[in-house]
Amino acid sequence: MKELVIISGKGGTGKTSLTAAFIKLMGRCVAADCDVDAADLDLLLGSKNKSMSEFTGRKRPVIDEKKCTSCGKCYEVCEFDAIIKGEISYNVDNYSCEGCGACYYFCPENAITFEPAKSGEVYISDTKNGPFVHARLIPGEENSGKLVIAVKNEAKRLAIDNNIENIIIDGSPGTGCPVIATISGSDYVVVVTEPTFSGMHDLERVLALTDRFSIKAGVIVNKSDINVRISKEIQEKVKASGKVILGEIPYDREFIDALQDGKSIVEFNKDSKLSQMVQNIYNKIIRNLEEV
Amino acid sequence: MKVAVSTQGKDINSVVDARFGRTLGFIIFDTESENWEFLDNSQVLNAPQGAGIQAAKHVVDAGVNVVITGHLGPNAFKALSAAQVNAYTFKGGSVKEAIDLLKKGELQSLTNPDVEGHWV
Amino acid sequence: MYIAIASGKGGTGKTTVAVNLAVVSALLNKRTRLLDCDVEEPDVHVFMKPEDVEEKAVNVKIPVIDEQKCTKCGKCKDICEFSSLVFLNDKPVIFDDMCHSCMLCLRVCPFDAITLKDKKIGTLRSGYGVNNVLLDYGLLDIGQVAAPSIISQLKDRLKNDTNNNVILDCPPGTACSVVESVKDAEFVVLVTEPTRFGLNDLKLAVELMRSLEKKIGVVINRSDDNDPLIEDYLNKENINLLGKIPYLKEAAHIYSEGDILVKKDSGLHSRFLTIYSKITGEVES
Repeated sequence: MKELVIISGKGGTGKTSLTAAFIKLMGRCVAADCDVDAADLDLLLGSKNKSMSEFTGRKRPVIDEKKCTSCGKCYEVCEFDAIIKGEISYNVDNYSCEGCGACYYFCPENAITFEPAKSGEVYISDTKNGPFVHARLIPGEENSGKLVIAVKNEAKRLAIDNNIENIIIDGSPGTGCPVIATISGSDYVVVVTEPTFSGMHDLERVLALTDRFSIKAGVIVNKSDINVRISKEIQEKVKASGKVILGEIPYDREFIDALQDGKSIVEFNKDSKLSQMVQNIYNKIIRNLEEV
Repeated sequence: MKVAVSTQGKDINSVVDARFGRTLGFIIFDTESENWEFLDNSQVLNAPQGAGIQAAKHVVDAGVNVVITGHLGPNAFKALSAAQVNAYTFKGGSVKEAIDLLKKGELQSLTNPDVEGHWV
Repeated sequence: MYIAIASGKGGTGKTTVAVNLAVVSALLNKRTRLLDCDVEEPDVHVFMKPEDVEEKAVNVKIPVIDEQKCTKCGKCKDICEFSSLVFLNDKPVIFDDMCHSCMLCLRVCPFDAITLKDKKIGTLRSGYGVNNVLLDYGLLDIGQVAAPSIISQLKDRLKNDTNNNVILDCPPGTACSVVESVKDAEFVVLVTEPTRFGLNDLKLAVELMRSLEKKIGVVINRSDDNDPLIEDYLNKENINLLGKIPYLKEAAHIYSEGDILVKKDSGLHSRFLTIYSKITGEVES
């Protein structure tokens, strides 16, 4: 089984549009969307028969206002300013709570329960290409990578159960915990960047991350004509670091037109110049993936 | 001496898993009696946090003196060092091959964590 | 005035809006302060170019066990929710990276065997940049996870400072670090783009801001001039459209060079000026 991950560091580089195109070009595969707080791949894959399971994250304290005597002990021991004095009893501010359990542990009235709570949903759908795993983090919840791990485990299980060779994963932006969870254990990482100062800055941080995990990585420079000078600079830097430039794609309005139509670029207009470019990049990725 | 080898299968001919914390399980091999058993790690594998630490605790509690795996993150490494368990790296072969190489003194010892931890 | 700029999706132009509104405010001779709360990937300084940057380490407190006093009773490990305290061969070991500094172990230890030490998780930086805008930004050390701690220390700098127009650039997404960022803001500007992705992520951001009871308005970036997808949604939900920034290849180029739109293009300057005055109207109402 091989796991291909597409990430970007910076948001808005075209990562999800390219991921959808690679999934279509791959044919049969398991698709997974690990960008759990902005899960958008679904919009391009035309998925059906969605089934949902709840995802429980950390434990949450709940104060029973009937038992609470407002002694204030919970308020005293909370390091996160997550206990608020209400009119009847003390209350928990779920957004500030980190789930340490101090309030539960010290409440002299046993007025606080502390049980795992729902923090997201994991979905499995069917697409023309095979199963698709995606998820949704409840807004305001901690995105620590746990839900990402749940999505990846589910994708692996589906690949084994259905005897499918490849998994393609749309990763989350940034360089933090969710991204680390996404790329860990994968076989090849594709980084989509854009020729801007911030894009270049974020690319360096993301490539440092793939190096640390000893995962092979290749780079796509999207919207390459926005700034030809920076685009060249990025490509030289990537090559100098011993990594592969998979290709560059000039800014193309067709990306947005395909998206508005709910299709991947290669389905929207499979004979266009853009589709040809994406096909060539895809072929290069597959050659790299096979070498791993 | 008891050796724990991270593995993708449940017997001595299974392939060594490069991952430590999120491995399916360990073959615990006793070099004196040549007996082995499978130690399930699936609970840790699906644990939300600290898989490396929990897996280390798992093998330490099983009385293991040596670990063979692909990579170790900083927390797993710290846990094993604290319990004075030596770690060796091996990739791309079976548990049996790994143990044979260990006996011959041909495995490379891990003296530092070689991957970044990922706290999930 | 104290406003936050957020967006459900990364790459919609959140930083562009924050930076340009700050410069518009400074050009109106208001003392302006800009906070970059995206501590994983801070980018605002690329545009604001602060000078004489002052730097300060951000520390958190984590436990240390005094082995002389410890009786190995195991109470501390039993209550730790973050797997940061583990007994190995009957010896307590603390994993600093996992610790959330909740102090519970210290509080439950019957033998006062736990004390605290400082651990550095990042830095706070501060300096005056373009048009004398004061920029504060934080940087989480690579591999650290406590982004909300840095954001909260970054925001502590605003205490005793009521004379400034404050503009705060949030991290992307809708997770807990965004909640920490927008907590005290009087008004939240949501930046979106007129695509199905933009709409999907805007809905999540609106859901979050409404649950936090925040006043909100929307800016459409890379506008096609006529953006029915987003505008129909805003009308239906009765959300104020603050303005549109057209897609211009020239604007993309200015951005890519780390330059500021309102200083290079008078048309864009007047667009941002309109957005700015709509926001001040909303904040004052």
